[in-house]
Amino acid sequence: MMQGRSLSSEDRTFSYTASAAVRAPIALLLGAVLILAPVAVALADDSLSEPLAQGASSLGDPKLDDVGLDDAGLGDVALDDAGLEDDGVDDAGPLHPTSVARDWTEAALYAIRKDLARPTVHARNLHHLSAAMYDAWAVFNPRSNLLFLSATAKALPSIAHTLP
Amino acid sequence: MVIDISPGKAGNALPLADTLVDKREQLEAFDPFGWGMQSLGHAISPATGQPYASNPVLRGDYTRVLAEFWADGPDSETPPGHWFRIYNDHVADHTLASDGWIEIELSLGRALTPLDFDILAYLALGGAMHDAAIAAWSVKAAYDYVRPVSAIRFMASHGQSSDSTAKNYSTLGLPLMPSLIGVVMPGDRLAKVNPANIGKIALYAWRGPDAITDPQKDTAGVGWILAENWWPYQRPNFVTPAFAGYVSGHSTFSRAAAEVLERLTGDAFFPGGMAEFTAAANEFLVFERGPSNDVVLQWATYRDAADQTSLSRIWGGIHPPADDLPGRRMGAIVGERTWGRALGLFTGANASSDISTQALATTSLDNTPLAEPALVELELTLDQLTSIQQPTRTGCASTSDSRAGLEASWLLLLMLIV
Repeated sequence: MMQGRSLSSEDRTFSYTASAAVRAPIALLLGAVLILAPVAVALADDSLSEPLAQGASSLGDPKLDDVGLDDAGLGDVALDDAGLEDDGVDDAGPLHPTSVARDWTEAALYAIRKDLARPTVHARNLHHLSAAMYDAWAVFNPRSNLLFLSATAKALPSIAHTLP
Repeated sequence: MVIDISPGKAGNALPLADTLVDKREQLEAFDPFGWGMQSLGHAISPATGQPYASNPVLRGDYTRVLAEFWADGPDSETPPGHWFRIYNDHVADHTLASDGWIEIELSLGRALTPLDFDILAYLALGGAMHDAAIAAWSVKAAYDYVRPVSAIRFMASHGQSSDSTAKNYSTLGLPLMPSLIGVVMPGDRLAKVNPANIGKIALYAWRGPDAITDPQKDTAGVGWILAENWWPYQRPNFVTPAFAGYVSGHSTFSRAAAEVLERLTGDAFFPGGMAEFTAAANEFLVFERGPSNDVVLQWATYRDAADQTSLSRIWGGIHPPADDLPGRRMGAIVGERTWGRALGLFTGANASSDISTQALATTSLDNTPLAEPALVELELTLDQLTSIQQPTRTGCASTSDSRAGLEASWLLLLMLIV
């Protein structure tokens, strides 16, 4: 049928090897955020265990967010650890000094471009990334409600044995 | 044929199409010989107070660029990622003044930073995309409905359904349309190629990847082809997505995202009154050579961009209009609810029991009803959908089906965390 048509790399054929190579960064990305979430909880617990007045006053301090997120390793270091720069990637976008969340979504979008075109899978990936980032943010913003974090910390041990 | 694709003409598609229940009326809302959908246009840009400048393009360039820009297939960010891209590129860096933000700042107890804005945007957008996927793909699985490439070739294999006196008449055949759908007659080029083609159905259509040797240099062009050889305007190695058509995922994702961005920014319009993308002449297209001139896609509103995404699937030949409109309607519901849920979390308005706590805290996943999907209720969209559109196959869409989908997604989440 397609005789004579050159299927160069620019034809963008699917490659399972390329796909496999890219799953690791995706897993790292999601894993990094999910693993970092408990770290963020620990950090938050320290601050939340302080008297409420003190916690409230720190709310007004914009440095709180910066410090907390840096401590959680979500900055430049984390992107390096995900191997994005080692791969010689130059289209992961510039780092955004005002929003580490932008960096992480750009990293996820980069990984998605390298994976198969699976819209449902990547909708879920983007949701998990967004939700994990939200929870990491929300622990420093006590007036906001946690999405997954509050539930999982307490509930998981009791239901873990019911999972296959 | 030259058409003006500026937001002044092509934007602001008739909202009627979203609400029409009658299938014939729905079809009439589409405009296959113009922009694709009947549009009112935006009289002026709210940012400049001036009318939008005209943007004339060849329609063949426009439709091909649309089909490829929103294809979101291999090497792309997929539709959900595409809307994150739109947020990052066209919304995130702009300073937005919205009355709604004052209330949010009051709830939060401090001024908002760019990080806060992004966090809320991603929470809502990510939730909307995930829920749109659950909703649309549940319907796809329930109805398992045909794609155009299968439908057209199948119908053509039965002949035509317009002339009951002819030998190739069949009620299952394609309707004949002057200059578009015909029957191969003796003496036609297709009959000379092979006399056995006489009596077969022919279409005046894109001639398909068989007519392309080098996609860098060749264009397939348009001409009379056998309907049994009809191709969507897609890659030869990605002809049609490997899942059912009804409802369109593009339509569901895109309307949901547009609803979220509209509420997030407090404005129906993109910052500056318009966002655009330039498809460079003879560089942008990869299915074949083109476009013949630069094509600048322009969207005044988030809705315009979403409507264009939906239409691109029709121009690309992988969704008929019947897949499109129910997807848009589901997306509107998903987007609105997701935004409400996300905003409630962000501002602390949701009671804590309203969140996933209950489902995750249960000791038996079998006996206890699971929580709704991440941010909205799927059942409602399914129920509404079945009342919107006559189901082609009944008995599949049930509450238990959607529950199964939910359960799977919750289990996956649990496994990731464990």
